[in-house]
Amino acid sequence: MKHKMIKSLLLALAVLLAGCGSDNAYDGTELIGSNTPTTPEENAMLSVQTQVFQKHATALKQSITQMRQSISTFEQNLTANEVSSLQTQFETLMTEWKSVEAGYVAADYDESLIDTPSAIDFFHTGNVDVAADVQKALDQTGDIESALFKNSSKTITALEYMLFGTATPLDEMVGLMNKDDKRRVNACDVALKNLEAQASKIETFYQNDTKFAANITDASNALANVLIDSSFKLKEWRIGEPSGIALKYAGNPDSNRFEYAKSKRSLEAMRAILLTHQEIMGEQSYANFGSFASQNGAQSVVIAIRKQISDALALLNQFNTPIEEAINGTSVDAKIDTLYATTKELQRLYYESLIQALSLTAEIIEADGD
Amino acid sequence: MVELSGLDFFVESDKRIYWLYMVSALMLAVVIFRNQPDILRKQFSKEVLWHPSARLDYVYFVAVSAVKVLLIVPLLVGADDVIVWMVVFLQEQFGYVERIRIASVWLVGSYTLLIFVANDLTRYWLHRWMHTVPLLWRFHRVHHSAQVLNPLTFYRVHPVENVLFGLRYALTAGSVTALYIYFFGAGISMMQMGGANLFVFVFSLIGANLRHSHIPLRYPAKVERWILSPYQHQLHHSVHYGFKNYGSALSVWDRWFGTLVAGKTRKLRFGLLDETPTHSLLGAFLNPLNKGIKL
Ligand SMILES: [Zn+2]
Ligand SMILES: [Zn+2]
Repeated sequence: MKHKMIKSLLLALAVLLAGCGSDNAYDGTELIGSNTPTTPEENAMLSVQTQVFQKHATALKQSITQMRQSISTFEQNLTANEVSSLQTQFETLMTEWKSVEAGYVAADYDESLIDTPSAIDFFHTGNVDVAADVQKALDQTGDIESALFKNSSKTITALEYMLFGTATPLDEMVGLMNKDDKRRVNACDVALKNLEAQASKIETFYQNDTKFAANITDASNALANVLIDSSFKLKEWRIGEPSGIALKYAGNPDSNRFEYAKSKRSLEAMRAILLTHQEIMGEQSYANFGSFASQNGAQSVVIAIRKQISDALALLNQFNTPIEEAINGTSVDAKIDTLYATTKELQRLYYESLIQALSLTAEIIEADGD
Repeated sequence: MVELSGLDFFVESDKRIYWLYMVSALMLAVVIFRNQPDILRKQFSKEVLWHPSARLDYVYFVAVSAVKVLLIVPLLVGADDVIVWMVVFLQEQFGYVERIRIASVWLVGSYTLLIFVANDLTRYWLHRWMHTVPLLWRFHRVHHSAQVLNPLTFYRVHPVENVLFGLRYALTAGSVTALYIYFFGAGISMMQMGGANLFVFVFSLIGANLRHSHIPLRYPAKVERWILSPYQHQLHHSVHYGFKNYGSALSVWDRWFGTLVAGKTRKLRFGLLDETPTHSLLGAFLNPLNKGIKL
């Protein structure tokens, strides 16, 4: 009797399932998200974003190569002008890296590129004192390349210390650069060599990748992830922690926690990040992720996101001195509070758009009892 | 207009009374009880389908649909709000975690299952409190005042209970989703069958609509330890087993928390022991709000 019952049950179910129309068929593509882009808008958006990423990766690589070339031309001791020019080149290189980093989807498509960012700069990662390590290598004698054996000693963070000391005045910096047969300049080249290799990997990826543009769902997820990530780190690590707004350092501001406190270029880094967000989400002459999301039902959220990005950029323009100087002891410029609030709202809006896309709005079945 | 009347519930696969689930329930009943025609005859008899209690169910269904569309859904905190708030909270309290990269199939599969299981668990507890907390019982009585059962009895629930269950959903789905986003980032989605959660779909297909009926469909004893059969919910509606079988789909909660009853077919009397209900719409809405007045 029991077996008979189960059999009839299964039979009934089989008949039912077979009878389900196509709209009830199990949608496997939705499940694993293997959605090839079909509309011209989707294709345009994906190829534009690819171009943007490629452009920044190439610019990063070029800025590094250029700096190495500059260094290779120095025969005598460096002049103040030459040191200052290297410092300017550092800013270009660093901001190009921030642009690459803010849109870094590469790790989602190539596992070997997951750790590349941590080989390029060292921020908020563990308890390594990069400056102390570099200083130790500089104080030693013998081959500089083997003295800088740690990976973290060959990052942009290390390069910053080599070129700027600890916000050391230029004339003093000139002396340090020329000291010990220009050991510090040679150290820069060791770091740059590493950076060149890393940037090269990223550039090659963006030049050859076909996977990103082949799947609209994965691409959208990758873009959403990187924007959320980047906006969180901007708000929490780059603004909240130095200013003592973030919970971790509540009421305990310290301008040394800024990402590029030694070169006093933290504001430029923030600007580069936000400009990349603007390239991806902002209103542009080309079809980007923002316009794509806007056309797909997220219009009001996209408008709000665009406003936060331009508000944040406008705030950065209001600083007349390096942002590091906007923190004095425990007093923090009110503009930083506003900047924190703006970027916090930006990140919240990114989440909102992501969650809208999930469409989890309360189902009424779940509002009923039993 | 269609939305206000609740008629769209018959064509939406995330609703209990979706036409396919109704058809599957009917087919199960017909196939399994083909040798006991009395059972089917009773369900479709005038004294069950046109009982004052059933007639209230129909009127109630339309009325409460309008209340839900006009009042509850627009005002209720949605899962979306909970998620945004909670992800930001997690990040600020526990710091940033590097996104865990796992294969889509695992991500989506585990998310679909976890949403289903977590929802089922919170339904169990809220339902249990609806019975054990006197204030809540005043509202849940409306559901249990039904003296005959039909699929629409599922919707004979006081709006206050709707609000509580809606909030419960927002908190449950919101928390699970927020945790997933916190650890895995974007890329989560639900495994769906015709637009409903895969597990909800399967559960609804195996006779969920018979829970509120007089058709005593039981699953094999071993299955009933894991999944509640329609008959087990009928026991919950009987005057003798009201404090048993609070669960929705899974019976593990009842089993682990000591409220499971399974097995033997008994002669059941549905409704409330201490009251002869009047089955009026106004009474159903208003009586729980004021104990003294009976309409
Ligand atoms: Zn019930
Ligand atoms: Zn109950």
